Amino acid sequence: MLMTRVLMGGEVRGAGAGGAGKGEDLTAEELVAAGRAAFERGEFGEAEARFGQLVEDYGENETVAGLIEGIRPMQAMCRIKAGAFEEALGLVDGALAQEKLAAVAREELSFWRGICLLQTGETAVAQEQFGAYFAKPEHDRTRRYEAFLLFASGYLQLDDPAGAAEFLEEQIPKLPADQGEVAGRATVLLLHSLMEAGRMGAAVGLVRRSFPRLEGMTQVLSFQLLTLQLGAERLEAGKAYEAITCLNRLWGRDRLLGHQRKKLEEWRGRRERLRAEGARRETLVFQVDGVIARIERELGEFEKVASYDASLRLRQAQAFMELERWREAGMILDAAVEGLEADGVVEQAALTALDCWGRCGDDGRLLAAADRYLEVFGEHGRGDHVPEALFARGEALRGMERMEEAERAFGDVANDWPEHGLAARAMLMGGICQLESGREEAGLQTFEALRKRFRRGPLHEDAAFWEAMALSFLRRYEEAEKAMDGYLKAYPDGRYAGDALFEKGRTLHNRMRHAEAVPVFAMFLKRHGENRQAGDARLLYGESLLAIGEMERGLKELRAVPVEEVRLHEAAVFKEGEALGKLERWEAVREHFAKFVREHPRSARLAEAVHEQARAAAKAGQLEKARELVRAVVLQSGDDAGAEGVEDVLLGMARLYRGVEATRALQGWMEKEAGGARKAGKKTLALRLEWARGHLVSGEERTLARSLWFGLRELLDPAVHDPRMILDCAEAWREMKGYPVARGLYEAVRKWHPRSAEKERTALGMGLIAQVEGKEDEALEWFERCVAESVSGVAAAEAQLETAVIERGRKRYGAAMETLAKVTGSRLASSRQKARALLELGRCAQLAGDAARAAGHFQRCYLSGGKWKESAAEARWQHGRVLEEMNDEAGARAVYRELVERRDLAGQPAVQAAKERLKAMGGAA
Amino acid sequence: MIGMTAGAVGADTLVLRNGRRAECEVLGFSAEAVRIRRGGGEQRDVRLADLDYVEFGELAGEEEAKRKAVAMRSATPLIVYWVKRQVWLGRPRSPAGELGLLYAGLLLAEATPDRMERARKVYEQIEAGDWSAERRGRAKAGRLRLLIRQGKVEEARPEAERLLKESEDPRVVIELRQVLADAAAEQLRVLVAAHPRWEEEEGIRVERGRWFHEALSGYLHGHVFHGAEEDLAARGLWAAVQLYAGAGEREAARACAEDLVKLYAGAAEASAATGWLVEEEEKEKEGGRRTGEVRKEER
Repeated sequence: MLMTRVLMGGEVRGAGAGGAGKGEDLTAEELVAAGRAAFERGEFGEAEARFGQLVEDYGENETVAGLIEGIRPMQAMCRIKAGAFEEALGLVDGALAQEKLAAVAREELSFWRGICLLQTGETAVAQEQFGAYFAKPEHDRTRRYEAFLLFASGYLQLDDPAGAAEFLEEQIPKLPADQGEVAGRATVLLLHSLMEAGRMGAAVGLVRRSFPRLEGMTQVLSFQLLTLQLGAERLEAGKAYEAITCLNRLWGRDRLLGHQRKKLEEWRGRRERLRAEGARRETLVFQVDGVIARIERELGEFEKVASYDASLRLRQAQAFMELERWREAGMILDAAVEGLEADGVVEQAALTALDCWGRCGDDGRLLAAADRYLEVFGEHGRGDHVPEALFARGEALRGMERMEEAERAFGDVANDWPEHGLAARAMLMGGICQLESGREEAGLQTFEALRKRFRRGPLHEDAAFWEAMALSFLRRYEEAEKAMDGYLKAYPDGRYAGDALFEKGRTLHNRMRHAEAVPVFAMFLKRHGENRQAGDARLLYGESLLAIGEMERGLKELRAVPVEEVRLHEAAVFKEGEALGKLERWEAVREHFAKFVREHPRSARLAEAVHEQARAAAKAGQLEKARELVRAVVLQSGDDAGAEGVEDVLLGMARLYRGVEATRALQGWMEKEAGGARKAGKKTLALRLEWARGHLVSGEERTLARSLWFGLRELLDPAVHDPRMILDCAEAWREMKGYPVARGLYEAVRKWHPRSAEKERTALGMGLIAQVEGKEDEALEWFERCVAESVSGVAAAEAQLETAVIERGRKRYGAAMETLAKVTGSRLASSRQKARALLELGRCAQLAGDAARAAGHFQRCYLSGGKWKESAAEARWQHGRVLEEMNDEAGARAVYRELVERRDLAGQPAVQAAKERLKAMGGAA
Repeated sequence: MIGMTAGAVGADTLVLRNGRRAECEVLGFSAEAVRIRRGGGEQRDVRLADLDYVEFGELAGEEEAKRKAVAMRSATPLIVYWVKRQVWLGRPRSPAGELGLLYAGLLLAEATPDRMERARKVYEQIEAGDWSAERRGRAKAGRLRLLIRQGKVEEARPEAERLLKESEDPRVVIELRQVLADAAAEQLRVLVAAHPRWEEEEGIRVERGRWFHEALSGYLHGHVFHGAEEDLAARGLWAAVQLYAGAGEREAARACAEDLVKLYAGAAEASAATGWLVEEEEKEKEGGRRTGEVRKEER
């Protein structure tokens, strides 16, 4: 550092022998040299001792004055290293007062002067000192930038954070690229200053900009803790977005600690290296000391912070919840529960997660969150909130349509925690699940039990109402009426008062007690006119009024049913028409429905209205007018795929064209108009006309019908056209062995009309195709699906018959017979299907070796299903065969003879077989 | 000597082990040295043993080309820069891979078979040769995303799930989550196409819900857990907006779009979100006007 040589023309020895420290007798120069050497080795105590001895031994000697002045800077440094800043300050000032002080030494000392001033509490003066030092670019780089930081922090110490922020904002961008460490520390200071100055927006901006440089920041812990503090403050202030911006830029605890511990080791290593280089590195050592002290302090404080990660996660979640971003909050809370230790805070997070998932409708995540809570906190019912989690589980399962499991979850809450606040609601929800899954009886019992168990609770009202509703669903109307009365008495202004009054009226209406229903509906409409069932009430009220002869009042109520409630409005229109019909005002009826047809061409009840219109015209003796009206509707609306009732209008036309001639005329009209529609590009109209024509002729000319439906393919748009037309076309193609096209059409119906009542026909058709293609397993699957989807029962019976055929082919006679028994026992199967089932039963019994039973089945087939010629003939033939097996030749001959003699069966193949058999047996054919 | 970079403007900086820095134009590397040119003058070699690292600067026009490419959603402006940069893919701190990922991502934005093939090659190149493990991971994710765009969901999904278990880098994790979200969104699309009246079909409703929520959570992962990775977080949030909008959940879509604009204002997707919000507002006003007119007519 400093080298001051005084050449006095000779050595100067100290006054008084033996006066040197350490028992040595050293000259002034030797003392200076020894002291300097010790100083440069960093042995400041030794150096100070030497310098002290010099002053003591030679202080009076004017010839040594120059030497002494020369060592003052080093003496000052030794005092600073010893922490004696006040003394050091005096020495520094003394040194700086020397005119001949070398520039390098002056520069260094002016920096240390600032340190001494700072340490002795002269903050303002210290700041000036550092400011002056920093202002000179020629000063030592390391000290200069340290001065920069000390100048900035001076503002904070002088309680001027705004000043600090302004200074740092201006200066940080100007810091050179090699001062990254200084820039990092300055950024921390800036963040602190901005926060202290209340400039939170700017602080958030700084956090955002600084994040990419976090790895290189020495005081990253401080920066992150400030960021957390800022995020929390922004959240408190209702600035959720700014809070999220901060909280999203926070590392987890482990990462922070690991990072800083590694940094600490690096800095300690650096300090050791610098120390080894001696006193000339003192400024740097000082700087590094400061950094190490700060990191150690940061680590010490941070390690004491409890639940850092949990706290961070919860704040993040809270910020998202402020914005009502329930999914995002749920994701964070789920991660917190999974990754953190299961303490009270985390348990709260788990419960909040349930709430969040419940709000965003993600039943899968809600179920997972509930299960997670139960897994982590639910052991042996330990967690305080197990019932909440189970309840949430129930809600999730109900949302996923897993009703039985939902019911169980709710039941667990109600039964295992009967005193819990959720018990009653759980019971209620269990009952609701039962109603929703069609188990009204079970629901009734549940609501009754709920009502009795929680007589005084808030859900008693719900239980009372739903119990009454369950009775109504079960069509126990009298009991339902009494129950509703009971509810209304107990809760005249209850939440369900309107619904209960309506339901009471409805039960009276259903039992045709219209005189009693009228005042109930009147009261309902007066008191609960805004209720969602007001439209229904008005309709029923109108009907009841008409029923008791109050025609004008009744019609007025019907006309008041709002148009927006389409279904109800249409019902009201038809009711009015019916009333006019009862009065035999046929012209009024015709006009009434004509108006409906004009105003609602797309109504699903279009066909009905057209029919009523035509019927009225016919009643008035105007059959041709009736026909004209219907034809006009078909041509007007027939090309509109959205006019859903046109198909039924067309199918109903046959009623107006009775007799061979009339039917032929109708056919002719359909054919002509279809041709015209095709030419005009009116595909939907052409499609409908040709399809309807097929139905018109299908009874007598099956082949023509099939041919017409076959040709519908090019006109069809499965997405918009009626599934009946698509299916008739599909079946025509299937019968003509056009399986790929047929399959495509069946699939289209399943895709575009998944709720259609015709869906069962698609499953049957797919099964039949698979059967023909030899894919029996696939066929069986489709037949099973057909039975499950069947509404009418006809397709199901067909599917069962084909299933039995396959089973028979696989020699599974028992299974086949079981399936066939379902057909014979079904109320919905047709007599043709039952006849065929009996025939098949006979075949199965025969193959199973039970000839007697087989004989019985065959006989029943032709006796009960005689009109079905094909199966009747075959059954007789097989009966004969079985009797032969049973060695009853006489019986067999009788059966064969009867078969041959029946004229109605003349063309059947079985007849020829019987003839040949009789000949072979030696009897007359 | 590999990788002569004609056209660069001396924007690179050599940082030596002794702390010295030198601005120059890097011309190429050999096994032992890097060849540079300083101030447009003579070329010289610097021993790799003396070199700490290279800070590769921007090529002339590169920044502008990137901006243009992102704004236009087109890879074309970046072609020439990718060609120049790719030779440095394996060099520490080289930005080549980042450019390559941007380029490949934009190729997928205009996904013709040719562009998808080119994107695949770029991803494979980065996956095999980039110096950064994080970028190699993201290139893998990009390749998987490409597979999903090609309908190969069953191939992409298991690999993405496996990589997710192995990856810790946040950017790679976000990319992989988005790949899985893409897979779920594709499953959703296929399901809804096969069952257009899914609301009416038992069983299908629940399955549709599963894919929908899975896709949503995947897209939002970056925004929720790694919001500081603004570009990727914004991309996921924009995908969530589109998913919500496609499902008819306009309120939720609007909320996501607002979050995107407020939290990731600098991202390219933010301008798309702003534009979308404006359109939505117009539609709402138009709807309100029509309702008013209908009511007026009815009266």
